[in-house]
Amino acid sequence: MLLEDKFNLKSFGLNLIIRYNFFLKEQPSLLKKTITARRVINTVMIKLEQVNKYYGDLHVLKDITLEFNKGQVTVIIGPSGSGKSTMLYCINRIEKVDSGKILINDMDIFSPSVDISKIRSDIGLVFQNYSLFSHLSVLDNITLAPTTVRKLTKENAEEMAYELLKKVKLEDKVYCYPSQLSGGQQQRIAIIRSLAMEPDALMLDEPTNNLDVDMLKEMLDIIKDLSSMKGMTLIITTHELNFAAEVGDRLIFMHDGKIIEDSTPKEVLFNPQNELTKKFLNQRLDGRFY
Amino acid sequence: MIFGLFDFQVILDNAPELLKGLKTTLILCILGNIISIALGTIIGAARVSNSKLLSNLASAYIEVFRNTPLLVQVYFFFYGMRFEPFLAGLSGLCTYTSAYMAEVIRAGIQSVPEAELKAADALGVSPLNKITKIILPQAFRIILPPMSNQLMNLTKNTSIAYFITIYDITYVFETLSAETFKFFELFVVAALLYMIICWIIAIASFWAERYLYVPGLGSIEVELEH
Repeated sequence: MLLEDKFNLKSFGLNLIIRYNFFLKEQPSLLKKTITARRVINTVMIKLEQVNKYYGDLHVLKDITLEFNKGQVTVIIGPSGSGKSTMLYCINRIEKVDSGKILINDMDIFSPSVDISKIRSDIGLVFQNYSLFSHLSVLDNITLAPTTVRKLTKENAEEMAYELLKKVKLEDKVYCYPSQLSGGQQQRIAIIRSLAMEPDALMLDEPTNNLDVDMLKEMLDIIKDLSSMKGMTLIITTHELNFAAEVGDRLIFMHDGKIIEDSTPKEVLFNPQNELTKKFLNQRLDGRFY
Repeated sequence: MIFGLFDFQVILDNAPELLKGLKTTLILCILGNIISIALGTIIGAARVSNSKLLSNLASAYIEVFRNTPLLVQVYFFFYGMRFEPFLAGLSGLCTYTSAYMAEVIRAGIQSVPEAELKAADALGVSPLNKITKIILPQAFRIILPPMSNQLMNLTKNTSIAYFITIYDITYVFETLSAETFKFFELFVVAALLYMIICWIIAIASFWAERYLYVPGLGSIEVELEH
């Protein structure tokens, strides 16, 4: 069993290195830019203190204590049902916690005096299923929150929307409705809908789901652009290990509502400490289920 | 008497009376529809609200007024509550139709995907804006066809006002035909008048549906036309 593990991990590492080299050859300038421009500032932005969360009898988050630094790109991996998404929902207060505290810039988001609307507009959350407003055009989808929450004028909001659309190469889809867009296009619109609120941090729930290889690379570019240009704090959940390795400053492995590993992507992927992590990486590697 | 012998004279002679009846029916129809929509919206919203009390009250209202005959409700307001005829007729029509309307609106509100509301929350959109900018526009597009059905039903149901001596189309034509014995002519015209009012509602609903059309939302027929 152990031998097999080792063998698999080795071939996995090889696979990763090949992919890395491929990526380097493809876009050397981009990678260089990322390496030079990324700077992690050591101030804590989001802090979870012994957070517990139940769905009925199901214990989804077990005593989670975590800190997310400003400007850091954190990737969370783990099997389905491990509580990754729930943790993001709790940080945005879409879901309530049962015990523990969540502090954002030293403010307890569950205290009644807090302006949740303000916090939510500072910390964007992009859902796995995109959830664009189906009755609004792409432009209206993007400008709805800036005009109603941030009280921007319609002109300013639209100007910003056009700018963002240009960045993700979707400026010709301004007047389309969500049902007329592909999954990848909807995904990008959902991301810039959150960016239009000019948040300090952005949480992406499974942004790589249902994306093909070309789309994956585009998504990678968008996320690298966000972290390097704007120095935005990013928290990303994903199933794509290569993707995680390429964008993350920090990799967290979650299992059954607990943090199992929390280190750099290199450490977690090539030198996992926990049996659960090894098992998970193996599954990912050859698609076998234990 | 049937074809070729259609007596237009009796219609022309009694035109002022007929128009008076039409006016009463129209007033009853317009007021009834407006009040039913308003009442139905409030009760439908209460039905899906988080408050157990409101939701149960709304359920009770819907069960009572949807499961009793319209005539019984009208008689209840007329004989039981001793309302004026017009008020009794209007009340009966409104309670009956708003119970149905509440169910239509409840279904419309519940058809808005939960995920979109969560996305609105995540963007910091306030509850009021969530209702006015996301729930209502989407729900309205969904409920337009079943709602116009209810409006047309109410229009035809106004004829029940005849039983409590309201001077509406049916009442006028009934009394005139008893005087002139021109039953055929008079009731054909009465039926036509009701049809025209219903047509107007149907056409208005059709145009509203087309005007508000959004790809991926609303009825399939409209989608196919484009």
